[in-house]
Formats: sequence, C-alpha cells, structure tokens
Amino acid sequence: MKNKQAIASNTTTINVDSDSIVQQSTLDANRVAMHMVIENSLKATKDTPITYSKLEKIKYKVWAKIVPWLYISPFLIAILVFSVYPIFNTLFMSFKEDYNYINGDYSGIGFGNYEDLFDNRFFIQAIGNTLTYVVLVVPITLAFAILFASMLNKQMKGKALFQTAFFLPLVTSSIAIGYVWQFIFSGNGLINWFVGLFGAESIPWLTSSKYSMFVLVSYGVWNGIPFATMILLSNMQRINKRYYTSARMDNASSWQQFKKITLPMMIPTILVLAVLNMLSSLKVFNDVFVLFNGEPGPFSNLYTLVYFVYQNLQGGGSRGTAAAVAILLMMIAFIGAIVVFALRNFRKINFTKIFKRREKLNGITSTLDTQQQ
Amino acid sequence: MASQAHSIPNSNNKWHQVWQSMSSAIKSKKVWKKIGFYVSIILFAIVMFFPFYWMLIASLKSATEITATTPSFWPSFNFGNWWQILTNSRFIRYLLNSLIVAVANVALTTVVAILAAFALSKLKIKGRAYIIAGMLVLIAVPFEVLVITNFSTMVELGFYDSLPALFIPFAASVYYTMILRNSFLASSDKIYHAARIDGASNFRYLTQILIPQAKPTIISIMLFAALASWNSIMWPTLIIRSDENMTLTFLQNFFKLEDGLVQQEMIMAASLISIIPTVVLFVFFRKYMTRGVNMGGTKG
Amino acid sequence: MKIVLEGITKEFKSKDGSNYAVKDLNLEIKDGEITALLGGSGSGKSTTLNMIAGILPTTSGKIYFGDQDITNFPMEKRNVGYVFQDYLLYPNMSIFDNIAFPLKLQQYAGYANKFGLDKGASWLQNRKSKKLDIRQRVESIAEILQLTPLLNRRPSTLSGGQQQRVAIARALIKEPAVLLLDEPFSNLDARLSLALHEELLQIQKRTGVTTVYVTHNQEDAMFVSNSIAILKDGTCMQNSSPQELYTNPRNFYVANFIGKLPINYVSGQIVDGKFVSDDAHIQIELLAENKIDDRQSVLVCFRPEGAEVAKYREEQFEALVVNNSFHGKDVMLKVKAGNTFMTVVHTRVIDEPQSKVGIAINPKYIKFFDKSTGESLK
Repeated sequence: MKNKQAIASNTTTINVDSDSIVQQSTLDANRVAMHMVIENSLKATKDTPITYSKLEKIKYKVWAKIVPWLYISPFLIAILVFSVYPIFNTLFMSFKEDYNYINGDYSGIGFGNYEDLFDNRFFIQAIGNTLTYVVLVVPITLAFAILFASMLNKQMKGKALFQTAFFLPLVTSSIAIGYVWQFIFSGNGLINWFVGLFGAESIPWLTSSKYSMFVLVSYGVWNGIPFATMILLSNMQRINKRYYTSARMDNASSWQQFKKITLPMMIPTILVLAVLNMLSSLKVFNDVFVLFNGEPGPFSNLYTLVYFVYQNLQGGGSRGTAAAVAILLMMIAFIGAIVVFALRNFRKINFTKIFKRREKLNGITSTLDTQQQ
Repeated sequence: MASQAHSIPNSNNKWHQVWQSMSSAIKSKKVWKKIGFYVSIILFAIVMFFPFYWMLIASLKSATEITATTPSFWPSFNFGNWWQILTNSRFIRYLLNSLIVAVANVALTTVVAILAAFALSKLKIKGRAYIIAGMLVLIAVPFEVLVITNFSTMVELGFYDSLPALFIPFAASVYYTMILRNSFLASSDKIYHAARIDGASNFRYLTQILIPQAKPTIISIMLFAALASWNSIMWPTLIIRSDENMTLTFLQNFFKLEDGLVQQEMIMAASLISIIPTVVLFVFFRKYMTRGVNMGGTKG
Repeated sequence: MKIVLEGITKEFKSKDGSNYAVKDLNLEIKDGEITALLGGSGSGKSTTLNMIAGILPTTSGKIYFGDQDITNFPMEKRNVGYVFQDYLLYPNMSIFDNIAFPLKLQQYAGYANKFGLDKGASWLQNRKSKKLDIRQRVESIAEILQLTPLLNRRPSTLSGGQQQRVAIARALIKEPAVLLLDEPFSNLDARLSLALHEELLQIQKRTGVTTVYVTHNQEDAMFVSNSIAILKDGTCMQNSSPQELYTNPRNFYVANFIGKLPINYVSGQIVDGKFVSDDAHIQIELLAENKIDDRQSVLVCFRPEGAEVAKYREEQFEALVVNNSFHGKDVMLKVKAGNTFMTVVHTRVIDEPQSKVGIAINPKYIKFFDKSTGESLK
C-alpha cells in the first residue's frame, strides 16, 4: 500500500499543460504493475539452493589458483631464460679469468678480467668517449626537445605537418638514416659544401679524430629529439589550459607563463626523459657502427663501451672481458639512474624545507600525484 | 576640390580599410611575434626533416650527379636506382627476412606481454609484488649484459644463424608488459568482477572486454616492437652468418665495391626503401603513438 | 565598480550551425554588492561570467565597468579577480607563493620595463621594498580569509574548502574592480557551503568589492546575494533582490524556479472579473486591485503558504488529499483539486485515505501570468 502511494506521488509537474499531468499518472500505473511482476518472479527463485559437490569445489579451488600462473608462465619462462639467467651468467663469467669459451676452461676466479680492462688503453678511451657522449647528448637533446615541444604546443596552422617532420625520425631505423648522415658529412658532402660557401676549407668530419665526435653527437641528438619531444608535448598538453588563462588575467607574459607554469610541471617528465636518454646513450653502438662502417671511428678513437663488448664477442675476442665490460656498463647505468632519482627527491626537499617531517613525505608523494592533473 | 584630392573615393573604401588594418597590424608587436614564430619553427622542421629529403633526392640521382661538387637540391627523377635495388633478389630476400622477423617478433612479444600484464593486473598471484619489483629492476639492465649469454643459449638450443634467433630472445619485454599493465589497471576492476559473475572465463574477459578497451596502447606497443625489431643492429650482426638469413641491417653488404668506393646513390635508394614500411606505419598510426607513449613515459 | 551589460550576445559557431549561448542580454550589476547569476545548465550564466572577465569575447554588445566601455579590453587589462570552479592553484608553489603570484608578475613586469623611462637604477631598490610590500599584502589577505597558518604548505596538502579560500585570496590580492566566482558552491558539501556563505558575506563586508558569481543552486543564491539575476536561454528573466523575486516574480519561469517547492499553478480564464479554471472546479473572485480584463489563457499561481485548508469558508473548492510530507513546523499536503495538483501548507498530517479537504486561496498571494507568454499580468 505504502509503496504504491510513494510511486504514485513521484510525478513531477513542471510542465504547464494539464494533458501531460494526466499522462504522468498513467505512467505511474504501469510502473506499479511492473514492480509487482518482478517481485513475484524473484519470490519464485529466492529459495532454490545452489549446490556443488565437494570434488567440484576442490577442483575449482585448485584451478583458480593455477590459472594466473598459466597466464604469466610464458613471460616468466622467457624472462628467466633470457634475462635473469644471463645476468648471473655474465656476472660469473666476468670473474672467470682467461675464460675459454669453447671448452669452458678458466684459470681462476678473480678480478683478473677487470684488471686487464683498466690496463687496456682502448678501454679507458671507451669509458671517456661514452661518458663524453652522454654528457653532451643528453642535455642538448633535452634542451631542443623542450623548445620544440613548447613550440608545437601552440595553436598553429599545419600542426600535423610539423608534427610529422619532428617525429619522423622516431620510426625510421637509425641504420638507414645513419647512411644519410654519413653521406651528408662526407668529404664532398653537403655540410662541406655549405662550409665552402663561407670560404672555409672542407672539414674532414668523418676522417679525423677531432671532428668525428661531433658527427656522432649530432646524430645522437637528432635521433633523441623526436622521442623526447613527443613525450614532453603530450605532457604539456595535459596541463589544464585554464592555468594559463588565470595567469594571463594576472598580466603574465608568455615567458612568465612558461617559466612559472609549464616548466615546473614538466620537471618530473624531464627527469624521467633524462634517465631514459642517459641509459640509451650509454649503450651507443648502432650509431658508431653505421657512421664509420663498422669501425670504431676513423682512428679507432670512438670506441664506446658497447663497441668493446661487441668486439670481444667476435672471433678473436675474450668472452670474459666482454662480460666484465657489460657488468661495468650495468653498474654505471644503475649509478646514473640512482643519482638522477636522488636529485629529484633532493630538489623537492629543498623547496619544502620549512615543512615538518610528516608533511614532507606527504608533500613529495602527493605533489607527484597532482602533476597528473 | 581640395578635399577631394585627400578623400578616398567610395569604391575603394573596402581596400582602404584592409590597408589600414594591415599597416596597423604590421606596426603591432603581435604580428612580428607570429612571423618570428613561424619562421623559426619552419627552420627547425627543415633541419629535422632534412635527412629524409636528402635521402630521397640522393636516391634519385645518377652516379655522376651524386659525386658532383655542387650538390643540387632538386630531385632529378632517376628511378633507375630504385629499380635496380628492387630487382636485386638478395635485397628482396633481406627485406623479406626483416619483415618475417618483425611480424613474428611483434606477435610473440605482444601475446606474451598481454598475458603477463593481465595476470599481473587483474589476477591474484602470490608474490605479485616481488615479481613486479624484480621487473622494475630488470628494466634498467642493458641488453648488452644479456647478449653474451643469450648468444650461447641460442647456440646450444640450435638456433644459431637462423631467423627465429632474431625474435625468440625478445619474447618477454619488461617495458611493454609494464606499460600494458598500467593500461589494464586503469580499466575498472568492477567490470572484471561483473564479467566473472556473469560467468565469463578469464580468457573471455581478456579477449572480449579488456583488449578492446586497451586497443590504443596495444597498438602502440606493437608499433614500438616492430620498430625495435626492424632497427636492431647488434644482435643480428652477432648471430646471423649466412646470407640467406640476413636482414636489412646488413645493408652495407651491398655496397662495398672492389676498389673500396661506395655507390652512394644506391645506398640512399636502399635506405629509402628500407624505411618505407615504417614510415607507412607511422603515417597511419601517429595518433596511437602519441597516446600510447604517454602511458609509458611518465615512469616513476 | 558598477557593471553594465548592454545587448550582449554570444554566438558559438559549429559545423551544424550556430548556437546562441547568450542572446541580447541586458544586465546591471550594482557597485559593492553581491550578485548571483542563477540558472539551469545551458542558461548562459557561465558564458556571461566569462565575458565579464574577458575570457570570452562578445559577439556583439557592450560591457561597461563604471562608465568605461571595456568591451574590447583584453582580460589582463580589466583588473578582474577570477576564482575557478576547480580552484587551479599552482601545485608546485607554496600557498604564500600562490597568493603572491599576481603581485610578483607585476613586479617582474617592472624588470621588463627597466630599460624604459620610468625605472633606471632604482629598480633594485624598488625590488626590495616591493618584496616587503608583497609580504604584507599577502599576510593581510590571508588574515581576512583565515589562511595564516597555512601559508607555507602546498596546495595538495590542503582540503577543498581551504584550497578555495586560497583561490579567493589569490583573486583578491590585486585589489580587483570585480570579483568573479565560477560555481563556488558546486564542489562543496552542505557544511562547507555554509562556511563559504559566511566567508563571502564577510569578505564583501570588509573589502566592499563588487562580487558576481554563477550558481545553479537557488538556495545558495538566496542566502548569499544582494540581488539575483535569473538567466534562461541566454537572457535575463529578472534581476532583483531575493525577496523581490519571491514575492513579485515578473514571469512564470521565475515564479516556478524560485522557492523550495515549485509554485502551484492553475490554468484557466478570466470571465467577468472572475477566474475560472479549465475544469471549472476552481473559481476565484478577483479583488478590485487585481482587476484584469477578460482573457483566455491565464495561469494563477500561489505559494503553498498562500492557500488554506479550511472547512467553512465561502470561496473554497474541494480537493482530494494525495500525499503528506512532514516538515517539522508545517505539513505540506499534496492535494488534487479537479484536474490540478497543488501543494498546501497545513498544521497537521491528514492520513486517512481518500480524505477530502476544502481549499481556499488567499487572494493577496495570487499572481497572474499569461499562459502563452509567461509574463506577469497586473
């Protein structure tokens, strides 16, 4: 009884003509009828019990436990075989002195391989080259990426065209374009023609030890810009446009808007990109291989760490040495990543130095979250 | 009469207005800013795009044109180079190998990653946290560390110098799995429970609900996997020996003439052809890439 | 600062044609008062607010601040303080810096002018005194809004209500001509809404700034305003004090919109100085002061408290009790008179089913509206 009244009184009379008021009352009647039908059918099934046999219950329980592992097993197997096992294997290999790959002999366990490395001047050179490369490529790439991303963020005509131009290197193989780069920088290539226009002599880009690093670095920067720009752009676009409106209302110039709104919100992304770029730059090898036809630079001056690994894996090389280099590479990568992340937390602490301890922790984690606005 | 000399006749009124607004606009700072912006962005775009343009041009030049001291910036439409490359059966074989490997790599990696990401996001696994923690550590490990051992493993398994060797070791990618996992996590758990209550098996939920929802991300990682496979150098050069298994990585095999000189225009043509598949992919899937990359970019 | 909107129209063009969010709006906002822009969704209230702020340009019409035509002024020149619905505090700055932000921009603008005529070598000294000045001003605003203990914290550590106060402080610190708020009550629960009521009234009292805000909730508008402008489909239906809107609505839309319960209305005609409802069930004799000519379609409207449940009054009509709702002091009876539903105030609950009561409408509370145009008849 009460239900019916409640249903019947649920009419809303904002409409002006009385016809619709009459309509509403008939709708109410329909609703009441429907409720009664549902009520009755529920009553019918309410008391029927659901039973499973004990065996079925056990089978289901076991199966439910196994299923997740089934899904993850191909991944786990592949990871174990091709990632985890190799790490340990390489680690041990690096300590096996005079490791003979063919018959598995080694003369002892110790740091011999590592010591040999540091006696090898090519290796020292490789460290220097790689670090130089990273230190040059990462900041330059990021600087251009920030610039390009903020330019692409504006309203402009032909956006798709510009985006294609900037992002195309992402998809193309660095091998193919490497040949182009080599061609452009070759003795009678485009760059030298350009230089010649200014009356200077042609520069031996690819054949001198002085200039070859420039070729390598410039190629690395050119290759790294699209990815960084893409990530920065998509993050910039996620900034709430009304922040800029609010700042504009307070009479902020575009530079001020960039400095106070865009940049601070990009800092975590920039740091992540720095780490990613650094990690991939440490592994520089493809570029050297292509630009210098498989040689490590014109006078073997552009040895990089990975090239060292590669060389030692060839016919006459020593596996143990290669392993040692690889492990060292991993160490450097880890240290680099840790340093950058520590830097990130350190910056946050500086800003909030007036905080109390608990608020400091909250501030760090929650400001990270609010960056995703 | 005197006033007529200074007044503008009615028929030119509209143009007078246009001229007025143009001249005042030129004087305003805003227009200069805009011009400066477009000029600079065009310059930057030219610099970034230039290698492609140069490659296109160079591939169309004849052997003499390419060694000319003054390079020409205009295409010369010499398609002979392209024809030569495309009819070179060795090149075609390399191309096909690259294609086969790329397709297999994408298929294998994507399937493994989807299954694993599903398990790690929606299913209960004991020790899930440990697995994920381990994976995060693995991300930073460079492939070079693994190369040495994987080489031996492949040899022992009998895959030395074979096409499968080029994609099997990459079956499990922590990076892609994590990206997919993040994307799956974003999909509501409630839908999962509702589907299970309605009697759907895990597999059905995965294929019919979760995957369609995560399509953009899946497409992006497929693209990235394809690219990575197409562009890899180190691993193929180590593990492939025989000519019939070589991929486009070995482009340089084509162009070492006896006297050491290199046929630049052929290299350019071959390079051009080798990037066409990826460019095509890019043009069609550009928006997927920007969207998908976003997920993985903000790590940490 | 008095604000006058004259013939404001805002047209949004799209592929399927154009849409007029605001159509020929005329509105006057008095200086030093709080005005609410009240309306449903699509009524153009946010669009109007944004046009006052300068965020959206007008398609046609003029806007005056005081006596100055600012229609073509860009937003940075209008000296407007704007509080967004989602507050938009800069997450990487402390509360102090957030509030000081507008002032710092003006300070930096001084740098840009340092090669101009007015600065010279004294800009360094200006900088120091400006810093002090900024600190003082931030602290005084923070004191008004009770934000003083929060000045060193980050926005993410603040509650919603606190964040809103920071947003208001940031808007007020540049001593704007007008304070604009976009749906300030929409994100708050009942308790915080009440707190905000208090706050806005307080701020108004202390600073005297002309305040305009947008809301869709009439209770908030009724509480916190000196006048309410009711907007519908881009035009202003009525702009007067809450009291005036309640007792003298100028058209039916306003009468229906305002009030906790919708107004009662009966459709009918006026014949021989008497109102007769369509079903002839209700007949009301018109008082001398409400003389209206005979006409066809009329709506008679009255609030629940304008009708009485009476047993032995002459001018009554019979009604069937449909529903009761208990409101503490009063009881609202929903009755059906003829074919019309109406809500009447009564002192007790009438529970017996199918009970009939006599209803008499107090002629002093009746408002007449033309049924087709909705305009008030007098």
